[in-house]
Amino acid sequence: MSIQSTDEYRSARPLLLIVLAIVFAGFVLYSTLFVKHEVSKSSKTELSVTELSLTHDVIRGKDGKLEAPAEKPSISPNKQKAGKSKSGGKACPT
Amino acid sequence: MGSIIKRTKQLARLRYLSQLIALVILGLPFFDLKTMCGPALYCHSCPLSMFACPIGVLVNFSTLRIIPFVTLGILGLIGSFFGRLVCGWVCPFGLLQDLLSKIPVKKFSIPRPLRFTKYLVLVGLVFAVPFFFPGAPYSFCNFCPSGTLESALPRRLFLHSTTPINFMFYVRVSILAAFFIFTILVTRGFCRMFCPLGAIFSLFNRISLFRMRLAMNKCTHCGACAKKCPVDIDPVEDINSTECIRCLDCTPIGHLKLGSK
Repeated sequence: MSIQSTDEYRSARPLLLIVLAIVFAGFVLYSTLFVKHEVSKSSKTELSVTELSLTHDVIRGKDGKLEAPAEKPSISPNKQKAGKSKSGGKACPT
Repeated sequence: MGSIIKRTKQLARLRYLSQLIALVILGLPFFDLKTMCGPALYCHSCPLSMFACPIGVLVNFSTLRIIPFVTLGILGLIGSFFGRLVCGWVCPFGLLQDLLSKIPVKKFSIPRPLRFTKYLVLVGLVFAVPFFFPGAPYSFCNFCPSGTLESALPRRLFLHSTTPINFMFYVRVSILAAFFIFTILVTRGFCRMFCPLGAIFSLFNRISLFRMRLAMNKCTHCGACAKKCPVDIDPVEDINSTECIRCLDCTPIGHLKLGSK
């Protein structure tokens, strides 16, 4: 049985796939090894910032730097306030 | 014909099983893995979620104006390997839409240009609005029907949230109600028109490792596969369309299959 591909990318596709896989795996590796964000003068990995961002425990300050909100986070004023996060901020209530 | 019906039923059962397993994995907090995004639209504000929602992370990082390397890497790797297979076999919101589409009413198709709405949603509500207006409540998460269903309503109904119900809550519930009606009338309507995660994975559909293959020598151009397609694609004309969610409903006919070669 002959299986045919009908699109025009057939010849370049394997190479493109390899490049994409390397690039995206590189993103994860690069972040894990090198990316650090300063949040209120403490250094955090991207994964930590991700976790903090879920509960809006990190916001972008007026000076453009990341910081922990003093009280109620201001970035999502419409959101509800069910539950508390570890640092006292309100859980993201989407 | 009998074998096609039998294979169709087997495949449907297998897909429901896969979607249910994914729902259990994504929707029960076996481990706290919220530092990473999951592969499907599942709100991390849901009290039971195990992973972060990839779209929620992209919205939050746009607000913070930093690049989410890990999330982009994970989504890129999933897309490169599977394309929109996730939409058809993993996404719990897709499962809900599949179940809603079983309601026997007249179904409508979507005009082709409207399929591009999801890319506008991705660029506008996931990246641009949170980036340029970080304080405004108009990002995708503020309207997401998945978030309303999995988080806002359960928190209101079962966790006794004490916050007064505001205007945005009504907007969200209205959007959820509209979603239900729309999905009953248009099969996988949300995936096809509005889902930003589907928009991301669709970019990989034509080149992903696992994709649809067509055996031309078995095709009789009868159009049976196009009739079976829940997202109104003619697989013979456009086999790895960006719209294809790889549900494999067309495969029991025999000339199409999922492969990696």
